[in-house]
Amino acid sequence: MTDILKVPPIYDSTSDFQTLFRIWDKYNASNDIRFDFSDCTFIKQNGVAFLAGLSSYIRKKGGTVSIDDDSILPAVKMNLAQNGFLKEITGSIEPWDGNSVPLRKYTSGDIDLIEAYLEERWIGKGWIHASNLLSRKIVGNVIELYVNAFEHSKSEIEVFTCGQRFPQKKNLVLTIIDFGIGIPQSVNNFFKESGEKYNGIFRLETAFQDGFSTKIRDRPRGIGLDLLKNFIQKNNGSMDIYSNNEYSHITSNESVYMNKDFYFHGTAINIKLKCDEKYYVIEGESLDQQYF
Amino acid sequence: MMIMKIHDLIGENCITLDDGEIVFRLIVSELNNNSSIELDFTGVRVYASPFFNGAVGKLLAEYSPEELNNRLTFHGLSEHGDQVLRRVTQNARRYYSDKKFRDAVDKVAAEHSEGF
Repeated sequence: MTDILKVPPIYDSTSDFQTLFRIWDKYNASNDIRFDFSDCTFIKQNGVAFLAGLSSYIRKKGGTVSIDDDSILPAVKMNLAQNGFLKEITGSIEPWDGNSVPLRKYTSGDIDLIEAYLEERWIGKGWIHASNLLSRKIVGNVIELYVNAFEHSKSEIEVFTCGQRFPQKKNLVLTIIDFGIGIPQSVNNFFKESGEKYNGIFRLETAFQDGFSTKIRDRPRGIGLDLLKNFIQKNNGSMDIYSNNEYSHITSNESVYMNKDFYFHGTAINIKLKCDEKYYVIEGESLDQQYF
Repeated sequence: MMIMKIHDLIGENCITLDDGEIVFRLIVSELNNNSSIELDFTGVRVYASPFFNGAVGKLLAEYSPEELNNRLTFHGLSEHGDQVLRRVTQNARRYYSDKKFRDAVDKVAAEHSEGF
Protein backbone atom coordinates (compact mmCIF):
# COMPACT_ATOMS: atom_id res chain seq x y z
CA MET A 1 0.00 0.00 0.00
CA THR A 2 1.28 3.43 -0.87
CA ASP A 3 1.76 5.77 2.08
CA ILE A 4 0.75 9.31 1.23
CA LEU A 5 2.89 11.89 2.99
CA LYS A 6 1.05 15.19 2.91
CA VAL A 7 3.92 17.63 3.13
CA PRO A 8 3.01 20.63 5.29
CA PRO A 9 4.45 24.11 4.78
CA ILE A 10 7.97 23.88 6.21
CA TYR A 11 9.92 26.81 7.60
CA ASP A 12 12.96 26.39 9.84
CA SER A 13 11.75 27.18 13.34
CA THR A 14 12.07 24.62 16.11
CA SER A 15 8.47 23.52 15.61
CA ASP A 16 9.16 22.94 11.91
CA PHE A 17 12.14 20.74 12.75
CA GLN A 18 9.96 18.91 15.24
CA THR A 19 7.43 18.35 12.45
CA LEU A 20 10.18 16.90 10.26
CA PHE A 21 11.32 14.57 13.04
CA ARG A 22 7.76 13.34 13.44
CA ILE A 23 7.59 12.74 9.70
CA TRP A 24 10.77 10.68 9.94
CA ASP A 25 9.39 8.57 12.80
CA LYS A 26 6.14 7.99 11.00
CA TYR A 27 7.40 7.24 7.50
CA ASN A 28 10.95 5.89 7.63
CA ALA A 29 9.70 2.27 7.68
CA SER A 30 7.52 2.81 4.63
CA ASN A 31 8.36 0.83 1.54
CA ASP A 32 6.23 2.86 -0.83
CA ILE A 33 5.78 6.54 -0.20
CA ARG A 34 4.26 9.31 -2.28
CA PHE A 35 4.78 12.99 -1.52
CA ASP A 36 1.62 15.08 -1.79
CA PHE A 37 2.50 18.78 -1.83
CA SER A 38 -1.04 20.17 -2.06
CA ASP A 39 -0.88 21.65 1.47
CA CYS A 40 2.68 22.86 1.05
CA THR A 41 2.70 26.57 0.30
CA PHE A 42 6.39 26.97 1.16
CA ILE A 43 9.30 24.67 1.85
CA LYS A 44 12.65 25.85 3.12
CA GLN A 45 16.04 24.24 2.64
CA ASN A 46 15.75 22.11 5.80
CA GLY A 47 12.58 20.48 4.49
CA VAL A 48 14.23 19.81 1.14
CA ALA A 49 17.31 18.20 2.70
CA PHE A 50 15.17 16.23 5.12
CA LEU A 51 12.75 14.81 2.56
CA ALA A 52 15.66 13.94 0.25
CA GLY A 53 17.23 12.03 3.15
CA LEU A 54 13.99 10.24 3.95
CA SER A 55 13.67 9.25 0.28
CA SER A 56 17.23 7.97 0.16
CA TYR A 57 16.68 5.91 3.30
CA ILE A 58 13.49 4.33 1.98
CA ARG A 59 15.10 3.55 -1.36
CA LYS A 60 18.13 2.07 0.36
CA LYS A 61 15.77 -0.37 2.06
CA GLY A 62 14.35 -1.32 -1.33
CA GLY A 63 11.28 0.91 -1.15
CA THR A 64 9.92 3.29 -3.75
CA VAL A 65 9.44 7.04 -3.57
CA SER A 66 7.35 9.19 -5.86
CA ILE A 67 5.88 12.66 -6.06
CA ASP A 68 2.35 13.68 -6.98
CA ASP A 69 3.57 16.18 -9.52
CA ASP A 70 0.18 17.82 -10.03
CA SER A 71 -0.07 18.62 -6.32
CA ILE A 72 2.87 21.04 -6.29
CA LEU A 73 2.10 24.76 -6.39
CA PRO A 74 3.99 26.55 -9.19
CA ALA A 75 6.18 28.67 -6.88
CA VAL A 76 7.06 25.63 -4.76
CA LYS A 77 7.76 23.60 -7.88
CA MET A 78 10.10 26.27 -9.17
CA ASN A 79 12.01 26.18 -5.89
CA LEU A 80 12.16 22.37 -5.79
CA ALA A 81 13.37 22.26 -9.39
CA GLN A 82 15.99 24.94 -8.90
CA ASN A 83 17.59 23.41 -5.82
CA GLY A 84 17.69 19.94 -7.35
CA PHE A 85 15.05 18.19 -5.23
CA LEU A 86 12.94 17.17 -8.23
CA LYS A 87 16.02 15.89 -10.01
CA GLU A 88 16.97 13.86 -6.92
CA ILE A 89 13.55 12.28 -6.47
CA THR A 90 12.20 11.94 -9.99
CA GLY A 91 15.28 12.34 -12.17
CA SER A 92 13.51 15.10 -14.05
CA ILE A 93 14.36 18.78 -14.50
CA GLU A 94 17.98 19.81 -14.25
CA PRO A 95 18.59 22.29 -11.41
CA TRP A 96 19.92 25.74 -12.25
CA ASP A 97 21.88 28.49 -10.56
CA GLY A 98 19.91 31.08 -8.68
CA ASN A 99 19.44 31.82 -5.02
CA SER A 100 19.64 28.23 -3.92
CA VAL A 101 22.63 26.47 -2.46
CA PRO A 102 21.82 23.24 -4.25
CA LEU A 103 20.76 20.00 -2.62
CA ARG A 104 23.67 17.61 -2.26
CA LYS A 105 24.33 14.29 -0.56
CA TYR A 106 27.80 13.35 0.52
CA THR A 107 29.71 10.41 1.90
CA SER A 108 33.02 10.31 3.73
CA GLY A 109 35.03 10.15 0.50
CA ASP A 110 33.65 13.47 -0.67
CA ILE A 111 35.61 15.92 1.49
CA ASP A 112 37.11 17.69 -1.53
CA LEU A 113 33.68 18.02 -3.11
CA ILE A 114 32.23 19.37 0.12
CA GLU A 115 35.00 21.92 0.35
CA ALA A 116 34.33 23.09 -3.21
CA TYR A 117 30.59 23.16 -2.56
CA LEU A 118 30.91 25.30 0.54
CA GLU A 119 33.41 27.64 -1.06
CA GLU A 120 31.72 28.06 -4.40
CA ARG A 121 28.04 27.62 -3.61
CA TRP A 122 27.80 28.97 -0.07
CA ILE A 123 30.25 31.22 1.76
CA GLY A 124 32.32 32.17 -1.29
CA LYS A 125 29.50 32.95 -3.65
CA GLY A 126 29.68 36.66 -2.97
CA TRP A 127 26.58 36.85 -0.78
CA ILE A 128 28.79 37.23 2.31
CA HIS A 129 31.98 39.27 2.24
CA ALA A 130 34.72 37.52 4.12
CA SER A 131 38.47 37.43 3.61
CA ASN A 132 39.89 34.36 1.93
CA LEU A 133 41.52 33.30 5.17
CA LEU A 134 38.30 33.60 7.15
CA SER A 135 36.27 31.87 4.42
CA ARG A 136 38.69 28.97 4.41
CA LYS A 137 38.51 28.66 8.18
CA ILE A 138 34.71 28.78 8.20
CA VAL A 139 34.62 26.12 5.51
CA GLY A 140 37.05 24.09 7.63
CA ASN A 141 34.74 24.37 10.62
CA VAL A 142 31.69 23.34 8.65
CA ILE A 143 33.62 20.41 7.16
CA GLU A 144 34.30 19.44 10.76
CA LEU A 145 30.54 19.03 11.15
CA TYR A 146 30.45 16.70 8.15
CA VAL A 147 33.46 14.75 9.35
CA ASN A 148 31.85 14.20 12.71
CA ALA A 149 28.76 12.94 10.93
CA PHE A 150 30.75 10.56 8.75
CA GLU A 151 32.96 9.22 11.52
CA HIS A 152 30.48 8.77 14.30
CA SER A 153 26.92 8.88 13.13
CA LYS A 154 26.91 5.29 11.80
CA SER A 155 24.34 6.50 9.29
CA GLU A 156 23.27 4.06 6.60
CA ILE A 157 22.77 6.87 4.14
CA GLU A 158 24.57 10.03 3.06
CA VAL A 159 24.71 13.40 4.80
CA PHE A 160 22.25 15.80 3.15
CA THR A 161 22.76 19.50 2.58
CA CYS A 162 20.69 22.27 1.07
CA GLY A 163 20.68 26.03 1.39
CA GLN A 164 18.92 29.12 0.21
CA ARG A 165 19.59 32.80 -0.04
CA PHE A 166 16.69 35.12 0.69
CA PRO A 167 17.51 38.46 -0.95
CA GLN A 168 14.60 40.37 0.63
CA LYS A 169 15.39 39.18 4.14
CA LYS A 170 19.10 39.46 3.39
CA ASN A 171 19.99 36.13 4.84
CA LEU A 172 21.64 32.93 3.74
CA VAL A 173 20.71 29.61 5.30
CA LEU A 174 22.32 26.21 5.12
CA THR A 175 21.05 22.96 6.57
CA ILE A 176 23.14 19.85 7.11
CA ILE A 177 21.40 16.67 8.22
CA ASP A 178 22.63 13.21 9.00
CA PHE A 179 20.35 10.36 9.88
CA GLY A 180 22.73 8.52 12.17
CA ILE A 181 22.76 8.11 15.93
CA GLY A 182 23.28 11.73 16.95
CA ILE A 183 26.21 13.60 18.46
CA PRO A 184 25.47 13.06 22.17
CA GLN A 185 24.91 9.33 21.64
CA SER A 186 27.99 8.87 19.47
CA VAL A 187 30.32 10.73 21.80
CA ASN A 188 29.04 8.97 24.86
CA ASN A 189 29.61 5.68 23.06
CA PHE A 190 33.13 6.78 22.19
CA PHE A 191 34.04 7.45 25.80
CA LYS A 192 32.40 4.24 26.93
CA GLU A 193 34.23 2.10 24.37
CA SER A 194 37.60 3.79 24.73
CA GLY A 195 37.52 3.62 28.49
CA GLU A 196 38.75 7.20 28.48
CA LYS A 197 37.58 9.16 31.43
CA TYR A 198 35.16 11.92 30.77
CA ASN A 199 33.62 14.05 33.40
CA GLY A 200 29.92 13.67 33.02
CA ILE A 201 27.61 13.21 30.10
CA PHE A 202 28.47 14.82 26.78
CA ARG A 203 26.42 17.81 25.89
CA LEU A 204 26.23 19.70 22.65
CA GLU A 205 27.77 22.63 24.46
CA THR A 206 31.08 20.78 24.49
CA ALA A 207 31.17 20.77 20.72
CA PHE A 208 31.57 24.54 20.73
CA GLN A 209 34.52 24.65 23.03
CA ASP A 210 37.81 25.55 21.45
CA GLY A 211 39.87 22.47 20.70
CA PHE A 212 37.06 19.98 20.90
CA SER A 213 36.69 17.44 18.15
CA THR A 214 35.11 14.03 18.00
CA LYS A 215 37.66 12.86 15.49
CA ILE A 216 39.67 9.80 16.44
CA ARG A 217 42.43 11.04 18.71
CA ASP A 218 45.51 9.67 17.05
CA ARG A 219 46.17 13.08 15.57
CA PRO A 220 45.87 16.63 16.77
CA ARG A 221 42.37 17.80 17.44
CA GLY A 222 40.65 20.26 15.19
CA ILE A 223 39.74 23.72 16.36
CA GLY A 224 36.21 22.68 17.16
CA LEU A 225 33.39 24.98 16.24
CA ASP A 226 34.61 27.96 18.14
CA LEU A 227 35.50 30.03 15.10
CA LEU A 228 32.21 29.29 13.36
CA LYS A 229 30.36 30.26 16.51
CA ASN A 230 32.30 33.52 16.80
CA PHE A 231 31.67 34.37 13.17
CA ILE A 232 27.95 33.71 13.51
CA GLN A 233 27.85 35.99 16.54
CA LYS A 234 29.75 38.81 14.80
CA ASN A 235 27.54 38.47 11.75
CA ASN A 236 24.32 38.56 13.83
CA GLY A 237 23.47 35.19 12.37
CA SER A 238 22.32 32.11 14.22
CA MET A 239 22.90 28.41 14.39
CA ASP A 240 20.56 25.71 15.63
CA ILE A 241 21.60 22.15 16.26
CA TYR A 242 19.16 19.35 16.99
CA SER A 243 20.69 16.05 17.98
CA ASN A 244 18.91 13.34 19.97
CA ASN A 245 16.95 15.27 22.57
CA GLU A 246 19.48 18.08 22.81
CA TYR A 247 19.10 21.47 21.21
CA SER A 248 21.50 24.35 20.94
CA HIS A 249 20.73 27.82 19.71
CA ILE A 250 23.55 30.26 19.06
CA THR A 251 22.91 33.93 18.34
CA SER A 252 24.87 37.15 18.78
CA ASN A 253 23.32 37.60 22.22
CA GLU A 254 23.27 34.15 23.67
CA SER A 255 24.19 30.51 23.44
CA VAL A 256 21.39 28.33 24.69
CA TYR A 257 21.75 24.61 25.30
CA MET A 258 18.76 22.65 26.44
CA ASN A 259 17.00 19.34 26.39
CA LYS A 260 13.83 19.04 24.37
CA ASP A 261 10.88 16.77 24.83
CA PHE A 262 11.29 15.42 21.32
CA TYR A 263 13.98 13.14 19.95
CA PHE A 264 15.78 12.95 16.63
CA HIS A 265 18.10 10.03 16.07
CA GLY A 266 20.47 11.96 13.87
CA THR A 267 21.71 15.52 13.78
CA ALA A 268 20.23 18.53 12.02
CA ILE A 269 22.20 21.77 11.82
CA ASN A 270 20.76 25.02 10.55
CA ILE A 271 23.15 27.92 9.96
CA LYS A 272 21.69 31.34 9.19
CA LEU A 273 23.99 34.17 8.13
CA LYS A 274 23.21 37.83 7.45
CA CYS A 275 24.05 39.03 3.96
CA ASP A 276 25.18 42.47 5.07
CA GLU A 277 27.67 44.88 3.56
CA LYS A 278 30.43 44.27 6.07
CA TYR A 279 33.74 42.78 5.12
CA TYR A 280 34.72 40.14 7.66
CA VAL A 281 38.23 39.20 8.58
CA ILE A 282 39.50 36.78 11.15
CA GLU A 283 40.35 38.30 14.51
CA GLY A 284 43.96 39.44 14.45
CA GLU A 285 44.18 38.99 10.68
CA SER A 286 46.32 41.71 9.23
CA LEU A 287 44.49 44.09 6.96
CA ASP A 288 47.76 44.71 5.18
CA GLN A 289 47.03 41.73 3.00
CA GLN A 290 46.70 42.28 -0.68
CA TYR A 291 43.57 43.86 -2.07
CA PHE A 292 43.37 42.05 -5.40
CA MET B 1 56.12 55.75 -7.35
CA MET B 2 53.37 58.17 -8.24
CA ILE B 3 51.14 59.28 -5.37
CA MET B 4 47.61 60.23 -6.36
CA LYS B 5 45.83 62.37 -3.77
CA ILE B 6 42.20 61.42 -4.15
CA HIS B 7 40.93 64.26 -1.96
CA ASP B 8 42.56 66.83 -4.25
CA LEU B 9 41.27 65.07 -7.33
CA ILE B 10 37.72 64.13 -6.33
CA GLY B 11 36.96 65.75 -2.96
CA GLU B 12 35.84 64.21 0.28
CA ASN B 13 33.06 62.08 -1.24
CA CYS B 14 34.17 59.05 -3.23
CA ILE B 15 30.74 57.89 -4.32
CA THR B 16 29.97 57.99 -8.01
CA LEU B 17 30.95 55.77 -10.90
CA ASP B 18 31.92 58.85 -12.93
CA ASP B 19 34.41 60.00 -10.30
CA GLY B 20 35.73 56.46 -10.11
CA GLU B 21 36.30 56.43 -13.86
CA ILE B 22 38.35 59.62 -13.67
CA VAL B 23 40.66 57.86 -11.25
CA PHE B 24 40.59 54.69 -13.38
CA ARG B 25 41.89 56.54 -16.45
CA LEU B 26 44.74 58.04 -14.46
CA ILE B 27 45.66 54.69 -12.97
CA VAL B 28 45.67 53.00 -16.38
CA SER B 29 47.84 55.74 -17.78
CA GLU B 30 50.41 55.24 -15.04
CA LEU B 31 50.28 51.45 -15.26
CA ASN B 32 50.89 51.68 -19.00
CA ASN B 33 53.97 53.80 -18.25
CA ASN B 34 55.21 50.95 -16.08
CA SER B 35 54.88 53.11 -12.97
CA SER B 36 53.66 52.10 -9.54
CA ILE B 37 50.89 54.12 -7.94
CA GLU B 38 49.71 54.86 -4.46
CA LEU B 39 46.15 56.08 -4.03
CA ASP B 40 46.11 58.35 -1.00
CA PHE B 41 42.64 58.71 0.51
CA THR B 42 43.62 61.05 3.32
CA GLY B 43 40.80 63.55 3.82
CA VAL B 44 38.14 61.45 2.10
CA ARG B 45 35.08 61.03 4.32
CA VAL B 46 32.49 59.09 2.35
CA TYR B 47 33.03 55.92 0.35
CA ALA B 48 30.65 53.98 -1.87
CA SER B 49 31.09 50.92 -4.04
CA PRO B 50 30.26 52.57 -7.44
CA PHE B 51 33.33 54.74 -7.02
CA PHE B 52 35.61 51.76 -6.41
CA ASN B 53 33.90 49.75 -9.14
CA GLY B 54 34.72 52.52 -11.59
CA ALA B 55 38.19 53.24 -10.24
CA VAL B 56 39.71 49.83 -9.52
CA GLY B 57 37.21 47.01 -10.14
CA LYS B 58 37.60 47.30 -13.90
CA LEU B 59 41.38 47.03 -13.68
CA LEU B 60 41.01 43.28 -13.23
CA ALA B 61 39.74 43.06 -16.81
CA GLU B 62 43.18 44.10 -18.06
CA TYR B 63 45.65 43.33 -15.29
CA SER B 64 46.32 40.26 -13.19
CA PRO B 65 45.74 40.39 -9.40
CA GLU B 66 49.48 39.78 -8.90
CA GLU B 67 50.44 42.76 -11.02
CA LEU B 68 47.92 45.03 -9.32
CA ASN B 69 49.01 43.91 -5.86
CA ASN B 70 52.58 44.76 -6.79
CA ARG B 71 51.98 48.07 -8.48
CA LEU B 72 48.89 49.63 -6.89
CA THR B 73 48.78 50.45 -3.19
CA PHE B 74 46.32 52.28 -0.96
CA HIS B 75 46.91 54.70 1.85
CA GLY B 76 44.74 56.63 4.28
CA LEU B 77 41.54 54.60 3.84
CA SER B 78 39.13 54.66 6.75
CA GLU B 79 38.00 51.30 8.12
CA HIS B 80 34.76 51.66 6.19
CA GLY B 81 36.58 52.65 3.00
CA ASP B 82 38.83 49.64 3.38
CA GLN B 83 35.79 47.35 3.72
CA VAL B 84 34.08 48.81 0.66
CA LEU B 85 37.25 48.46 -1.40
CA ARG B 86 37.78 44.84 -0.35
CA ARG B 87 34.19 43.98 -1.16
CA VAL B 88 34.48 45.56 -4.59
CA THR B 89 37.76 43.84 -5.46
CA GLN B 90 36.39 40.53 -4.19
CA ASN B 91 33.34 40.81 -6.44
CA ALA B 92 35.42 42.04 -9.36
CA ARG B 93 37.82 39.10 -9.04
CA ARG B 94 34.90 36.76 -9.24
CA TYR B 95 33.30 38.67 -12.11
CA TYR B 96 36.43 38.59 -14.25
CA SER B 97 37.44 35.02 -13.42
CA ASP B 98 34.09 33.24 -13.69
CA LYS B 99 32.44 33.47 -17.08
CA LYS B 100 29.18 31.93 -15.89
CA PHE B 101 28.93 34.49 -13.10
CA ARG B 102 29.80 37.31 -15.51
CA ASP B 103 27.11 36.26 -17.98
CA ALA B 104 24.52 36.10 -15.17
CA VAL B 105 25.44 39.59 -13.89
CA ASP B 106 25.41 41.03 -17.40
CA LYS B 107 22.00 39.50 -18.09
CA VAL B 108 20.49 40.96 -14.93
CA ALA B 109 22.11 44.34 -15.63
CA ALA B 110 20.70 44.33 -19.17
CA GLU B 111 17.23 43.47 -17.92
CA HIS B 112 17.40 46.31 -15.41
CA SER B 113 18.55 48.80 -17.99
CA GLU B 114 15.69 47.80 -20.28
CA GLY B 115 13.32 48.64 -17.46
CA PHE B 116 14.34 52.28 -17.44
